[in-house]
Amino acid sequence: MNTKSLSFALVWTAFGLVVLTAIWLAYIGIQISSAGHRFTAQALKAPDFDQYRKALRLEQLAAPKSVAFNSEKAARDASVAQIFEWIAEFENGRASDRLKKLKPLLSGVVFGGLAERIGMRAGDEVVSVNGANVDSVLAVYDMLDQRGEQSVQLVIRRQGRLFSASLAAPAGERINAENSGMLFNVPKGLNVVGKSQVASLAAQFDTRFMLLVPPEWRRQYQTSLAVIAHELLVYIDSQRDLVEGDPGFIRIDQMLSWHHDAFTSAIEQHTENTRAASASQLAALGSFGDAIIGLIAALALFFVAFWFHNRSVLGLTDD
Amino acid sequence: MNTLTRPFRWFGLEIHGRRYAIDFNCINTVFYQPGDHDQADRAVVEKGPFLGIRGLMVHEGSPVFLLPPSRLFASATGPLDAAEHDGGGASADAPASWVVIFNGDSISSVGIRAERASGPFRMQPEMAEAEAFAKKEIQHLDQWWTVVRLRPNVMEDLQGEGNE
Repeated sequence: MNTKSLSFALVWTAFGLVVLTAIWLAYIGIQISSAGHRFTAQALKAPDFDQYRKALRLEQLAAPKSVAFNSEKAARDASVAQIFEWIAEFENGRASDRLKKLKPLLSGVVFGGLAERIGMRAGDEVVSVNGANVDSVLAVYDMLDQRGEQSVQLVIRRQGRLFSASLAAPAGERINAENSGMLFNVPKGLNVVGKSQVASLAAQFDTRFMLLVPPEWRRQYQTSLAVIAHELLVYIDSQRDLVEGDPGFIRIDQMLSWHHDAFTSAIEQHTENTRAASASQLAALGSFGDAIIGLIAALALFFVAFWFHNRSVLGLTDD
Repeated sequence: MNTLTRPFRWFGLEIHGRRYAIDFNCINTVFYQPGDHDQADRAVVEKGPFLGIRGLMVHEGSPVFLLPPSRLFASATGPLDAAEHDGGGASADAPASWVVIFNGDSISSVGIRAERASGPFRMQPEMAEAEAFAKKEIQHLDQWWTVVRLRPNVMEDLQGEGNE
């Protein structure tokens, strides 16, 4: 083989290397771009109501006939207090019909509670609260919760005779259904949530749940819970005949704990995905440097081969 | 009676594949800290006197000694067996990305690394802490959790052993 054809082969080989390294560089560029896209597109998958139904095996829950509102939209700027107002609406909604039919007969009193301290006992019937007649457990709860007074006047019927009694909360506290210490035969798992309880639930949520969520995720955590809490409202009708323990009965405390666990798992998953995307982006950037060096080397070889080829074609020699 | 406003008393920790439930009130803070902390933890164990310390971290300006379950917890049957509870089993290498720091009286505190943190949650039916402790296990989301308490004087024991 003469010098001319050798230099010709060298030029084409070098040119081939330039093309190959250019393709390599383009491939790395695409990789960087897609890794960057994966990195920026990482979104936390917040738990939703369907996951909750499946996790707690609540498939028996009757699907709502029509969803007239958009939970995502309603939940967007919902405060913690708003979340617990929805939960209260759900609890009161499923309990109200049954508690309206329940006579306000005490099934017992809380040991050491306000009712016990004034001598109330099982079998007493509450006839009126602050002068207003009450004929159901719901009416008693409403009167106690809505008024939010430090003391209330009760009329009690015991063995056919009427007695008057005054129920007073400790200084600085307000009487409500919970701290009154009166127990009624309420079906298991049903609650009536008054305004004061909404505030106390929201406060408990802030100190027990929210504080365990990293600050940068708290807004999303709140919104995710708000969506589920709002979605509960369409299930009120399906809960009207259920008591705790029945298939499909929604326990709010369990829902809150489940949501918390599911959300923290989502944070873990998101963090892992972000770390993986970041690692692959770094690896791609490392390869980009190699590809640039390869391209420069291939170009250098090409120019040297081209120069050598020109010299051999023109018949130039060093001497 | 409203059952909703009862406190969420329990907190769950999964460590070396075992599940523990502890009174939420003894927990100071919980946070997620993924990453390769194993090497740093090992360095603490190797450099210092062996006090069972698994790692050392600084949280809000105070040192936190990370201890294994047998140093921190006691169950109804007494202190936990180190061989059984402190890893070495199949799940000993599971990434422990959660850090739980417990309330304490001294300037420094104690904490533990966990693979998973669960709750706060309630027992159903709810019972007093002493009663639950005696019962040994409680159920939450279809799983059983061993009820444990923080061992008394963990920090003092640590300081005492360090001075010996």
